[in-house]
Amino acid sequence: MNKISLGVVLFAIFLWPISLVLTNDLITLIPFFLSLVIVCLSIYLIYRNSDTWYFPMVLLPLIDIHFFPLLIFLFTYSVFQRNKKATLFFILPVILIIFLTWKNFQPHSIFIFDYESKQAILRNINLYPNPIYARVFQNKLNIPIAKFENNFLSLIDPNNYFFGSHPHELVDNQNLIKIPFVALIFLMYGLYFLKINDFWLRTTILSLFFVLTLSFMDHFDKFDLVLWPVFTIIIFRGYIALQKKSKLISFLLICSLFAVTLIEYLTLLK
Amino acid sequence: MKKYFPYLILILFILIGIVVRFYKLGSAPAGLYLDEAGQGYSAYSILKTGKDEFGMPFPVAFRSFNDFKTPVYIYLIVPLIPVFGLNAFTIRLPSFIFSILTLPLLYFLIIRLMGKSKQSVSIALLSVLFLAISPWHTLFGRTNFECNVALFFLLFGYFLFYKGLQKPVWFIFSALIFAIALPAYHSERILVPLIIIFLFSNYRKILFSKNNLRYTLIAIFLGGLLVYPTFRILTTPGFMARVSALNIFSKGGWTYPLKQFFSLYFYYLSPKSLFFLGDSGPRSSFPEISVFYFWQLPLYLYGLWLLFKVKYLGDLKKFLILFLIISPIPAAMTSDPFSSIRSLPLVIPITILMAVATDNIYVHLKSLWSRRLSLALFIMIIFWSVAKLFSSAIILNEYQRAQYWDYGWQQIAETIKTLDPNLPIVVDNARTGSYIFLAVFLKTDPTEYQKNNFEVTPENYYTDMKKNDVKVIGRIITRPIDWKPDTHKQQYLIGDSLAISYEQIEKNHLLLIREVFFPDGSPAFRIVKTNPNLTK
Repeated sequence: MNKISLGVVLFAIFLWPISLVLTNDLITLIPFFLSLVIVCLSIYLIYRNSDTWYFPMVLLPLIDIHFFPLLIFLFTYSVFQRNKKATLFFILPVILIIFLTWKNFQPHSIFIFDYESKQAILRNINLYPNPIYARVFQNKLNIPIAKFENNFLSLIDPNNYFFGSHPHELVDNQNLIKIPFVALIFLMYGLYFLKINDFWLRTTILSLFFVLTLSFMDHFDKFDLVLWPVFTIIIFRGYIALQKKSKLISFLLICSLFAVTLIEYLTLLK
Repeated sequence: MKKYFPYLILILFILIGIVVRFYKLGSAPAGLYLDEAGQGYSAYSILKTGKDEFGMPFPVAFRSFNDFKTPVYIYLIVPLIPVFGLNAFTIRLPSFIFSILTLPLLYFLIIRLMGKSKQSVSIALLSVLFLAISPWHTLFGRTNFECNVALFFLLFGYFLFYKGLQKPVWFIFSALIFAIALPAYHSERILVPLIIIFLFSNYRKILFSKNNLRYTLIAIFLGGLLVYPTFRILTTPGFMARVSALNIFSKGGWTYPLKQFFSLYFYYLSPKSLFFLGDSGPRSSFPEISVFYFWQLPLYLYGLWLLFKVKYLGDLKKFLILFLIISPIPAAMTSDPFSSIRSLPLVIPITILMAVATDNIYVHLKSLWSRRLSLALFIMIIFWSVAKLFSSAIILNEYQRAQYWDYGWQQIAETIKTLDPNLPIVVDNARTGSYIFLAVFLKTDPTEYQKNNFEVTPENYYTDMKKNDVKVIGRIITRPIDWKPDTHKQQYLIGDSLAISYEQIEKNHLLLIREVFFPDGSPAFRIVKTNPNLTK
């Protein structure tokens, strides 16, 4: 029984990468899967309690320039942790990359020039009783901030992963159902039973850095695959905790997870 | 003095709530929306004749344009009309009053659920402050939406029930209040029974104990008696109109609607909808602001975590979990992505969660300077939030959303009074129920209106859904303009900028009497006089 239910959870978890493979040209997916391998390696290093867990991350901006902000977060973290080895390891690439790649990064980020939003701000400014009040709520800084907020909240929105962003589908995004929605129960249960230890602390920090990095992108579609390992671990954690708690509930959930996952796969193949 | 300090703070926070909701009440949002006008005129008709505009004496659900309106709000407007007159201010006043009454009610509810302690007082006060400046609660406290009044009765019923646990006579009042909440808004038709089931299953031993049984039975009887008129029309097409039009399950099948229900349900609790996108409806949101402020996001997430981890919340924990789980249910059953109207009860648990988080953060600040610094920062954030709310609700909303609030009909009504009284007036109704605005702003005599606009007999009031689109108000007739015959007769024509374009004016030799503009300068309505001599 355990092997079957484990198989069902795996069947559900693999929907995310498989759905990408089925809906995209394989060659275009290489950078995303390479990034995923690097993230898995880092999480493995965290699990082995190695201080070098963020070293592989330096390769990510080389795979795709979109990951450039991640270096800054990791660099700040290493300074904060007084990790001299890491600081020295990161400081040079960060400085170099900032100067060399900003021009490449900007058009693919939230800092992209937005004529329409700029015009709307100019129109709105005239409505305020005084210019200072207008400047507080109608300024050009609001444009990237709003885009950042939108990305950030989409990335922490369960609907993005379990319901293909329904009911507010994202523009220029495949809006794929990444994880069958029944697994949301395992995820919540897994989150509830998380023990605060070094592994989870570092994994949480890593996830937060990824969410922040992806929030700087103009479109984070497919890039959010880097979060897949974290989801996988928490869902498994929830599945194990739930199985210990109640065999019957666990069985019923596994049955519904299988049914829903099967429907999702069939929908993809259709 | 120390004993009364929390009450002074409470009064201060209520005053903030009053200022935020009362400033320009009736004139911002500019205009009066169709449903608001409909409810206002139904109330006016009840006041003058004891019947609504369709001739039905004291209905339990009010016949309206395409559906039936809930009755409580309309009956609350009735006594206000003799004092303040029939206008937008009066029509929106019950919303304002009950929105303000919710603030102290929330304070006393939290104290009752947690027991009086320093911590409960601080959580209660913070909740009141957050609710006072809440964009979600403020929106419905400034406009005519039944959901706000229903929320008050829902919380009041809950509060009285807990009072009843100490003094059982309050069970009777709790039942009566729940019986008012049930028909007060569509969502409450689902929420009230769920809450009652929860309370009965949790406190059945107390409710049916030897000492309390008498009060419980009286409460059930009186509550049932008050709800009986609503139950009588439960299966009529009128009562079911709204449910069948919006319910995602009524369209057939189970798999897809079930998945859609879950996606909508979780979307109501998603930070994205609560702190960024909010409601996309132009009347059920303010521009550039969601239902909560973005700075409250960490408080929401931390509050959720605390809800399951801390033990000091007492019965408040049950209340929060119950309301978090059930509040999105009615809204998630409809296909709208995020309906702030239908999910309004959700504002309460989320606001309290944020207050719990804020209190917890403050308690963990040990040094005096860090406490002072954080307090100063907090006050600054509150000021910023009120300024942001003012920017969205008053400045931007007036400019960007006036057309959605049916702006311009008051000006039309004022102009009609100055027109030649011997000429008939045709008002186009192709896009809106224009008659109701004229009935409100011209204060048309309901007796005369009922006589000239028969639609249905009282016996078929809830069952016959047929509509009469042509309405007569004195010399005014509302119907779509028919250009050929209408321009061959001397009369006034009134319509929006689509109905009467400049091309039509030129082609038919019409005389432009008045043009009404939206605040952004775009044309709203045109009043023209026909010129049959030139047309022929």
